Amino acid sequence: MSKQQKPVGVDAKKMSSELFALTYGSLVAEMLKDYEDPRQVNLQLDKVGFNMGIRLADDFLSKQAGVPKCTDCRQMAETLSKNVIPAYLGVSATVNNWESGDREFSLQIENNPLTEFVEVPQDLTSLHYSQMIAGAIRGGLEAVHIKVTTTAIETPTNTVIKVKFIEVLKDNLPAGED
Amino acid sequence: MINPGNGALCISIVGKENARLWSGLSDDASRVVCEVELFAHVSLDIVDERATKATENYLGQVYSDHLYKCFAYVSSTGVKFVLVTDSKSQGLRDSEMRAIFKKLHHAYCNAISNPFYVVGQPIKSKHLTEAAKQIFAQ
Repeated sequence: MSKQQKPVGVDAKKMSSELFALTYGSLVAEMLKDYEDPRQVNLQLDKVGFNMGIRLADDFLSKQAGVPKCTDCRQMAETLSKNVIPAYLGVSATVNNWESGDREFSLQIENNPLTEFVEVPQDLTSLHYSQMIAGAIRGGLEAVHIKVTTTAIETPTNTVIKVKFIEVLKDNLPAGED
Repeated sequence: MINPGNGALCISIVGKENARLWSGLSDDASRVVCEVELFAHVSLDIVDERATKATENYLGQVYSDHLYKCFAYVSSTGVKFVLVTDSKSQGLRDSEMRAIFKKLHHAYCNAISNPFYVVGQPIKSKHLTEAAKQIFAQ
């Protein structure tokens, strides 16, 4: 009975990207109203993403059995762009701009579903609209004991996530709150 | 005024309470901005009148004088789309007009989906600017 009620061709676990984009957009707009400071909003979005990331890391590792253990930044970037981002955002990403001896790189996300209708006003240039994705990457990596800093930058055509490797964490477990 | 395309001069989007939300002008209209915008504004009265009797969103040609013609489309939520064209221009069949307004309506939906847009305020949007540019270039 329940099987028949499901709409044909629609995965019950997937949601409309428009609904998702509009929900995230309202969240950011509301936060801007409440905090009145784009930098503060960036911080909070990063925190939201971080808390998602430390949970998603386990989810990802349990579902994707074939992912090898990363031993350097290049492998890490490869896994992020080819496996992690397509799995959760449904779009692919490309890696480029390697800097400071393979410790820094950029992930370019084409057709970022979060920014589908978004036109950030000119007076909000300090806002990092997709910082939640950056935060989620930071959280996910922290869960596997890799400390990085991440920033999301909007360009007119795509979203660029800058990732900078800091260190490999030893012995200390990831914190629940940032 | 010689116009090679469909002769579209001005597109206005007007809210339910007749507040102007967005307007775009073609390059041909740059010398007669006031005239064309006034014409679009004047047509709104007739749009209101027609909209109450209309059976579909597209209202067709609502008003004309010796220089301009005005076509209109009203969404089910009461947003009015007005297109002013040169009165000499030909080749404006209803089916083409419907397609143009449908495209505009779609661009308008994308524009108001921007989370930074406050409903009821004038719109600034690249979606609409792009759509208008395409229509003027047709």
